[in-house]
Amino acid sequence: MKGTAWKFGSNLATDEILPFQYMVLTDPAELGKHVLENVRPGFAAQPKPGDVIIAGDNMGYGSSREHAPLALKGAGVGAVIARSFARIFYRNCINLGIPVIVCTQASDECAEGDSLSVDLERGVIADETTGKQYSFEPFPEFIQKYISKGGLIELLNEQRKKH
Amino acid sequence: MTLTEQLLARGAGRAEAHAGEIVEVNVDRAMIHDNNAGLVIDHFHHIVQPSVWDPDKVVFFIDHHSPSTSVKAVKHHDSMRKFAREWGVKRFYDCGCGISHTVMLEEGIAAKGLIVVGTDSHTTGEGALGAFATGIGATEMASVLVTGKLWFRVPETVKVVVNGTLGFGVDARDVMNVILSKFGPDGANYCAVEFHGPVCRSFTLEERAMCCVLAMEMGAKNALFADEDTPDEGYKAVVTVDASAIGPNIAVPPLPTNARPVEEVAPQNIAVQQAAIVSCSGALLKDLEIASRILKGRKVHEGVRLLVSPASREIWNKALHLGYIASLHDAGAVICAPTCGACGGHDMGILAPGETCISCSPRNMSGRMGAGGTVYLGSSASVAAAAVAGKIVDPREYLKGRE
Repeated sequence: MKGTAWKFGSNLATDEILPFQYMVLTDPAELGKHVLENVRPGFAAQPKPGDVIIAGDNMGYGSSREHAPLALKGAGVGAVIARSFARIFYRNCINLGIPVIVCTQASDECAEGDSLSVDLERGVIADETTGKQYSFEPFPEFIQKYISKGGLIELLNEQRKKH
Repeated sequence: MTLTEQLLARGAGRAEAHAGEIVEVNVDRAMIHDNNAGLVIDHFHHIVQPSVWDPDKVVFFIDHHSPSTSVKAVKHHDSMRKFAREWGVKRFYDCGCGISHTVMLEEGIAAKGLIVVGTDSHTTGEGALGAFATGIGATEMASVLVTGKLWFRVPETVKVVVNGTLGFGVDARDVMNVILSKFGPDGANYCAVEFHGPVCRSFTLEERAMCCVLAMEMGAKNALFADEDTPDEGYKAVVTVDASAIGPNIAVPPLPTNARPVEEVAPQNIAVQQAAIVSCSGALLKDLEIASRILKGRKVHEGVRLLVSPASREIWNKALHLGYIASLHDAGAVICAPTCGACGGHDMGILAPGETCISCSPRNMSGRMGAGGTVYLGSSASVAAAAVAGKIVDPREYLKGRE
């Protein structure tokens, strides 16, 4: 997976990722048009498919709204790297097949606009702009399945088709 | 085992469960509200041959856009009503019934020992009677609707002990604000929280519900009140708080974990355009009682909109018969239907850019009540006093002689 880094701070709330007035939307592309619009106006149109959000501590704080990770996905974001994640946001991302990576060093050192490549199986982030590499703990096998299948519903359906 | 380990062991049909283990539990209550039902129902229909595992364990609430606030919102309501009819979901709390977390406790739906999941982060509030209760996303809820099961990592538990006594004009909310500030916004992330000590044991169900709801703001997975003292072994951390040292305080933006003593905040003369006695953490019967005591015979300050949205129909009804509604109304408050309402800016009570609100709801992150608006959080006494003064003040001045 390759993409450009977009940097945000700590305690970025799901209220900020997807403001309340858009929670009546359910289509990822529609949600994606409003992602982070009060935090960084104009951001929604900028990510290319596979781009990476880099956040600080407690990424996805607050509301359980799955609209927030769905809006990131709809805007083209392919992975989220942070020092730490709020627990519901973390689970929501995995259930939607969005890789969420805990890596303090990459969160601190990667700069906005850096070209990153992420190897989920080996647990390596390569910053191709600076030439630095960062390692992270790969997902346990049962979580990896959610990511590789594209999310919980896809995994569940595969099991249900077998029976 | 901690209380949470005991609950998850029971839910998983095991003799024991310990922090760090992954367990699959049988869900006893699955709560879905109208803000997330649209996504849940969409996901449900993407599942191969979907059917609801047990309609008697499913609970629907229309509490976020209640009554409907837009064409899109009412379409979600419509699909919820159709879904409930199609699958035989009888526990359907429609417009006006109140906020899920409050009603789930009032009606005993979130009873002791149960595994409760809800599509709302503040589902931690449903732990107040002794359930394991936590918030989940829409995809997981769709999966729960079909399978009745969900995996959890058994959390470590932090023990919060509150000693001492509450001083004059000091609310359980003031104590909880201080606890949140001790932990910070992720200090209890992924953890269970157990409330201990004589002050916590003296808390009413309403006060316990408020604490369990707000535990989410320090990252808690779930929250519970302990009936008995326990040894300090087996906890990730033990944090002790002296309630006697706590006075009224205000959580300043942009985090609910930013409590500052009112003595520090009031001298800043922070004018408010809106005061909100709303939400599962701030519009319970005791909050309406305190607010009516402060507002009786007084008027809301010019230029301030005081919103009162009792958390449930039952609370609304009791407040009506006890005279609280009349006192609040006569003072100039806007009395609203039981709804999540202003707390998340979903319908009434949205702020204009540059406006300031004081609220007893759980959250004050940037844009929470409207882009460009600023939110301060305090007890219902602090909110009511600010509504009279037109600015953030020490509520004790307004409670004097009205004990």
